[in-house]
Amino acid sequence: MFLALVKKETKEHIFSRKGIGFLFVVSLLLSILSFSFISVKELSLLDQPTVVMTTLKLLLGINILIAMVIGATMIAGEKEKGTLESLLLTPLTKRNIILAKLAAILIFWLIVTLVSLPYLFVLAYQANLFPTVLLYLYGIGTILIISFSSIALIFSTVLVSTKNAMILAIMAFLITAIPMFLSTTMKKSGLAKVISENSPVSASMTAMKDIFINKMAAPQVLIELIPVFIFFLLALFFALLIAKKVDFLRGE
Amino acid sequence: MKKYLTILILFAGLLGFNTGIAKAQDTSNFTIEILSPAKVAEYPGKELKIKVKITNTTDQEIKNVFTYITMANLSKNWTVNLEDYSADQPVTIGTMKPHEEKIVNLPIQLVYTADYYLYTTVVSKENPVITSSVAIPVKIIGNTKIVPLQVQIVSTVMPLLLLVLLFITMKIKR
Repeated sequence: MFLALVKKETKEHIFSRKGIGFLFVVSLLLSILSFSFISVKELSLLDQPTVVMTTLKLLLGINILIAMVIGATMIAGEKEKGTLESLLLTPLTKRNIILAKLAAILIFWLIVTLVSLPYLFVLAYQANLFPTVLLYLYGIGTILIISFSSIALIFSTVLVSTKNAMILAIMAFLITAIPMFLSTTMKKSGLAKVISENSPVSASMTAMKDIFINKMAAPQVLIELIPVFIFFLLALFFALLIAKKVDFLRGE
Repeated sequence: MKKYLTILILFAGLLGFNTGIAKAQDTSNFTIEILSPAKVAEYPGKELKIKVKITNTTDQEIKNVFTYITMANLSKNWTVNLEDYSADQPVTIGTMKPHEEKIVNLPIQLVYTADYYLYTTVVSKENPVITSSVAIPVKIIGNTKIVPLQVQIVSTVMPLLLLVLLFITMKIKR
């Protein structure tokens, strides 16, 4: 039954026009970026680790956003369509429903990474970076995707409207991503400093720099990634805790 | 005659006044010197510490002293936006006692491949005279092994494949 739900979600959200459309957009963006690295003079002067890092940042950013959009529509969408009732009548527990939806998002992420691998391979060509890229993508990338999808599923469970769940999910992502848009000066004071020091997005970016540029040892990088692991555990815990709230709309 | 004398005196006065300002602008309160490295030839991504010696050459205490790096791109004849190089933040030294020497490390990360001159500057809020060090040559060596043809093929083929897949899906749905 669990697998059947995962299959249904995958078919609905990934192997659909919407899902392939998302894949096409990701591929188009990666193509534009990769093409810029060889055609824009300023970008062509960048070293390969920076090129790979920039591509990974774009890939992660877009995919977190897409995963959150998909996650936000999953439960709230069922409520809006009135299909939640039939889903709750299945022998699946509410927790398993959430887990099946998370699994579907994870499958989407794996397909996106498959689409992005040729780009990463040609950009990391002969620089001995590809194994590290795979490790980062499937390790830290997957953790981030699960964490943010869990947040989106929480909003989707608590709220009735897909639109509201989506707006809140995107806002949550943008708040954690604030340090990426700020200058180094702004990151050193006030709220931006607090977010910068604790944000899982910031921590993953710092770790990325230390892996690809500074070639730091694994233990040091793992320490830097503590906010990512904490965020992952908390997001997953609350997503499973809030699963109890997966219920019919009033009057249904 | 009196008129000419007045003009002469006025000119002399103006000249003296101007010389005074020029003298004041020439007087620097510091000396600044890059101790190490003497030159740099490294690959992008390398993080360096520029060791700088700053000396207060006056007999007075100078407050609010800070120092920073500047890089001039010799390949393009422009100055560099040091935020990309993580070197846009000045290092605050604070107060320097008379004839005090301070050694400061300024961090920088090499990014774009080109030839540069790197120099350091020391500034105090109390004096508008800005002192810069002698520059050191910095060469950021290109090491990219990206094959443009490979990138072009992947960047063209992948979106096309997905576009075809999208059309097939749309057709099946109809």
